[in-house]
Amino acid sequence: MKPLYAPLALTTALVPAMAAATPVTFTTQMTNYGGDGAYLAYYVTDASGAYLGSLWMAGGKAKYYQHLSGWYAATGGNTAQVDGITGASVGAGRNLTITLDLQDALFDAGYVLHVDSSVEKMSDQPNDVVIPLTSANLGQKMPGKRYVQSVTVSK
Amino acid sequence: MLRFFHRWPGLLALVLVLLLAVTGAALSLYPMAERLAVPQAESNLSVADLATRVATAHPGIEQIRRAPSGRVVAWWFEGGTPGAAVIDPATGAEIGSPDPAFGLRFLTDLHRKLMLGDGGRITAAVGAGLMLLLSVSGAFLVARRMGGWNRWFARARGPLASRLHTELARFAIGGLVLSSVTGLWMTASVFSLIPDGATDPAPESALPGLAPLPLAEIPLFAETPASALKELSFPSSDLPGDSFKLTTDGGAARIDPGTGQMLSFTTPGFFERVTEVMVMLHTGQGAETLGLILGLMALAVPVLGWTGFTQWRSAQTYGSRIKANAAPMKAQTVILVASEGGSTWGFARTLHKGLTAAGLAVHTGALSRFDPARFPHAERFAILAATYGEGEAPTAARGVAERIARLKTPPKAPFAVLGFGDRSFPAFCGYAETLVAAARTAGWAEMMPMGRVDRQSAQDFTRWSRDFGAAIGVPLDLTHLPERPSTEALTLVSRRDYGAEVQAPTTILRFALPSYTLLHRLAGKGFSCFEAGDLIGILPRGSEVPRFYSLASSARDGFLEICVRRHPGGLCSGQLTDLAPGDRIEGFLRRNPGFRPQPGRKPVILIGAGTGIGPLAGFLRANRRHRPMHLYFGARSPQSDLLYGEDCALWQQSGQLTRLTTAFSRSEARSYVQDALRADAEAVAKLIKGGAQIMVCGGREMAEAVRDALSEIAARVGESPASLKEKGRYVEDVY
Amino acid sequence: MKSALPLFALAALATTSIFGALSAAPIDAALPGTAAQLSVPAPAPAPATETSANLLFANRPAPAPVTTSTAPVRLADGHGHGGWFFGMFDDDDDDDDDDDHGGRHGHHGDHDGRNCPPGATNCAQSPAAAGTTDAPANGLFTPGTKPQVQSN
Repeated sequence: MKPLYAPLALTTALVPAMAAATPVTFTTQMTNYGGDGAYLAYYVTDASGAYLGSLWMAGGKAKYYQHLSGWYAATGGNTAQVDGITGASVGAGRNLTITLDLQDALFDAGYVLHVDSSVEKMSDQPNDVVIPLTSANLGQKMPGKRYVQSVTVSK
Repeated sequence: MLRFFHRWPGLLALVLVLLLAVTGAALSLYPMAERLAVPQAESNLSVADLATRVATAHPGIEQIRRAPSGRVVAWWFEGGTPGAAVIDPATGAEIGSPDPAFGLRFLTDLHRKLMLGDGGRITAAVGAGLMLLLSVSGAFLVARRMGGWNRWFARARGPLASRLHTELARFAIGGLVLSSVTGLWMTASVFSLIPDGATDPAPESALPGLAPLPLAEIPLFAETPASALKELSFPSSDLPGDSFKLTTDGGAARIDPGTGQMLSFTTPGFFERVTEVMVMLHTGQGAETLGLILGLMALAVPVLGWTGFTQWRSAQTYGSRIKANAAPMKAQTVILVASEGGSTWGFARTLHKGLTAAGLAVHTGALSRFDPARFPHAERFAILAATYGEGEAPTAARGVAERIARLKTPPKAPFAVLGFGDRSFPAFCGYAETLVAAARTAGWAEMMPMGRVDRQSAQDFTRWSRDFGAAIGVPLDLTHLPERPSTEALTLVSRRDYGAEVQAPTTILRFALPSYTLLHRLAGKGFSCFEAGDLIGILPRGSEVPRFYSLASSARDGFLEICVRRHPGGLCSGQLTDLAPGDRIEGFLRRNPGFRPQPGRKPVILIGAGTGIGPLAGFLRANRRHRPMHLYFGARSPQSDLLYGEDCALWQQSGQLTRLTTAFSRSEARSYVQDALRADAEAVAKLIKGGAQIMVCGGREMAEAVRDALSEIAARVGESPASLKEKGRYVEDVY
Repeated sequence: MKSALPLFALAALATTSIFGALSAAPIDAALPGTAAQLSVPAPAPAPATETSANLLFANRPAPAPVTTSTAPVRLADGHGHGGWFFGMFDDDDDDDDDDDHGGRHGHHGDHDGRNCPPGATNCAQSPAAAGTTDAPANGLFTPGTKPQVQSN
């Protein structure tokens, strides 16, 4: 599981410069897809798609994580990746706001935020939203493909 | 102990289990409806064919799924918008929205987690666990009742509620066990208590730089029949190196879109397979007919709940519980009880206690469940039988005498019968005599001559116990102390007096109902639940023997009403008719289910004289649906003892009483109620022909005269009181 | 004996359904291996009506297994898997790579009580909810901070 070692590399790269950290808010608006609550996995990869780490998991039952196929393939379903950053699934039409204290070095360094989504009895949607983490994208409403209407990343 | 495990979860879980059963039954219809509604693919269709058809119509295809019903749904993303539709596998055309069927999500949510979160899931699982506990303990109870596991499917006997309970339980038990076990498994699976997580084929990158192959050239797609397909995910064009992922009943594989080769695969683990089977068996998805049958069996649960509850309540009311009761299989002495009100059970308990103290293995049970095969070690049978009405079987033991007479091989162990009755009735211990005659017909050996107990006489019983002891070689000298029924205090709220002028002082007494909690009401405690025609037992001061009066009201009326005629020197009637509003009296309820109007809209002919009008007035008062009811009422004088005269006028106006015919014995016409019937013969015969039920209440002489009159009238339409009685269309409450 | 009929009917239906469900053909094949092999055009597909138990390469010589993956590799052998639990037989195979588990019967996934993809761990246990433990030290978060979440 090569991707699992990547976060360690990032840690060593970032920790010396860790002076700079800011609360970052992720505002997610769901579409009215007419189904049960959606599971959402928020995770970061580098530009080549190699997994760095997870930011948030909406949905508490590990049994369903394999339907978040991008996240599952990257992590092998290792739930330790989302310990302490897991909350409830998000209903259709609802709004989810997550505020995380993130390292500044995450921005403008070629990293990309992915949101995988899945709804019971409906299709799995890996990469429902893909947002390059750049200063230019901050505060922009980035459209989702299926269950996510939009995600806004703001500082 | 077994009963304890069957009864308490049953009562506590009634609501929860009912909800699960009813929603489960409703949900069982969906899989079959879906299978019938979706077009089925041709049998030799491959995944490649299906995927090509869909991909041609929707180049932006992302995922195709096939449900066990054959329903194929495709999801795509084209021109910046997502789309999804049910697909006809034969053409690839869209044939509808993939949204779940009407009500499905609501019912699923309710059934699975009571519209709540994890707490609801756990509660529903507790419900499934209780259902399982009920089914298993119920299976043991059926075995015990039928006399062993090898007789589990034998004919059920006994009163309707208990017979229905057994029959339905045997019908539904397989489905209920299957549904509750699979339901519990599914809950455990959701909470990851079972290692059944689906395995994912290892992520492998596809070779870069190759153009995608046509779907038909990918071997795995061409070879996999579409019927085995569960899910096919297409590679994302945005992700270089992304692959197909094919999931079938037999596993999952990643496929390189450029080379068509399998990159990795996985087959389901043991527990994953088991979970798939459990889900199929529980939901009926992929086993639609089975699902329908399970749904039908789940529908038995409400009826089982009701019949079970009724049995529990009647056991509470009649107090038929026996301490230290030996198992039927082991019992040497078997006491069988046929009781109308419950007092015979009291004698049975005394006998049971005495024989057990003498070191015998004794089983006491209801005569209605009698079946010789249940008692392989019996050495003797003692039958304690009350009599109902004019020598008839108590309600709970109807048909038993006929069954005994038809026994091909009577029990080897001999029997003794002790009859209970009232010497003032012509057929004193009539039913006990019927039983002896039936046993003789079958060739069953008698241990001793039949005994008789008059009006619950302790002396009669002691005498018989000595004889019985002598016959079995055990010294017995039993003293029966009548168990004082637990009574409740009732307060008189009003009284109406009639008949003093015609030497028939009669009073209609109306009492307030005690207040009850909801739990008491649900359990049918005391006077919280009764119908007109039921009886109230009153213990007058200075006597341990209760007197019974028919109730002229139901619990819904909010009061309890009786008609009492004051007899010169009568202890109980004297005390009752002396009551002033605010005074209290001790009483208890005894059900009388044999004296009720049959359900339905057929006309009812009510015939009564004197205080016999009491329950009839109760039926009229309860006749809110305006069923045709014809009242024939005999009194002495219209000026003096026309009980309920004012009420009858009001009920006629409101349509609760169709026609009132009166007969007065101290008027110029000197007419009795049977005369009124004869005068009206044509109309009465017509009513009988039309299916009317006849209900007679009053003194014995009047009842006999009415029976004579009615046998003449009924003969005109080819019926008789006896033939009507068999159909429950001629019922009497005679005193 | 009439009362026994529903039970018999139910048992018969359930058994048929279970057998039907378990008779699915497994996705079960040797992995195609090296890049050299992959550059060779794919072999011609078998007729679409081929539905034998070893569906994929039943009438083709199995390519040599390779070990680039830790996935359990099984040859198209003659265990007659069509129609019963596959997992039942898995660990009894001589070619199994779990020699150290000698006499143990069960499925691969049983070894750690979980059923994870090859090489992965900890995938069946639900994660700790936010607020009950720290965010993972994946280098993205400022250590010691707690996420805040709000849903409307």
